[in-house]
Amino acid sequence: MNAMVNDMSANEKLKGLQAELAERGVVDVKFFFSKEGASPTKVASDVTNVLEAMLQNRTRPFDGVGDSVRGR
Amino acid sequence: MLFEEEDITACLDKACDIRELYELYVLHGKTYPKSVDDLLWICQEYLKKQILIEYVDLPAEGSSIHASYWAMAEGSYRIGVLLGLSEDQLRFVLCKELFHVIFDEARRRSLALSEHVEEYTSTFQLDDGQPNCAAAWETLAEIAALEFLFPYEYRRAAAQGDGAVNYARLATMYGLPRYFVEVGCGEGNLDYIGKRIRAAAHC
Repeated sequence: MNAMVNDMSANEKLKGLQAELAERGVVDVKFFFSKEGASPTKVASDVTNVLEAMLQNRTRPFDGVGDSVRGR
Repeated sequence: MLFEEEDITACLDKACDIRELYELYVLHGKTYPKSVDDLLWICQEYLKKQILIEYVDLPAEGSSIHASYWAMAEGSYRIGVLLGLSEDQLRFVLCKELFHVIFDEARRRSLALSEHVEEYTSTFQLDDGQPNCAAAWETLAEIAALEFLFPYEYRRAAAQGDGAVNYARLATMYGLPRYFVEVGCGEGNLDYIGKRIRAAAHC
């Protein structure tokens, strides 16, 4: 068994978030994982933080990358 | 890491289709660097995808997660990107998340968060790891993003030049993080992708 499976608290939080996402009509979740490498527990904690922020609408408007070439 | 042949073929075919669509509809579409804002426009205008992109009020620095993609039951999509990414990081991250929109199918979906994180952080990072479908699509979307932003034939040509490959120059030319330029120009990547592109392909 690895660290993730043994970390019950992280697992419980993720299960709670999973239920909340399903309740909100979310059917698929994916992530961009940084390439610096992190322990499963750290990744689970960061996943929790990001999902909670999005569920609570702690967000700011995005107005594009600014790399469009269509108008040039 | 290993993928199902059917999945890597579907990934490369779709990346090729999107590149062709982009080159057809975006003015100067054959020039590089490709625009991720214009890829978003293609997804909205031509693929008819409803996509909300937001910044998540959290710093990317220090986080092992830089973005999250959600598909909603009613057919729309939500992408949250953490704050503080450089422009080339932001372009790659968003391009990859847009490919999740493009690839979306019921069989590729998962809400099993614990399993997804566990799969990605353990088995999947081993060379012979055989990830489940949902975790595999995390990396397949990265492969598609690279094929869109810096296609195989350009990487092959860059890697075949005389002398050492100038990764920094290529990263600037294609508007990519250097990490993905180095990975994409690596011999293993070029051999693996090249074989599948030759077997599949119309691009």
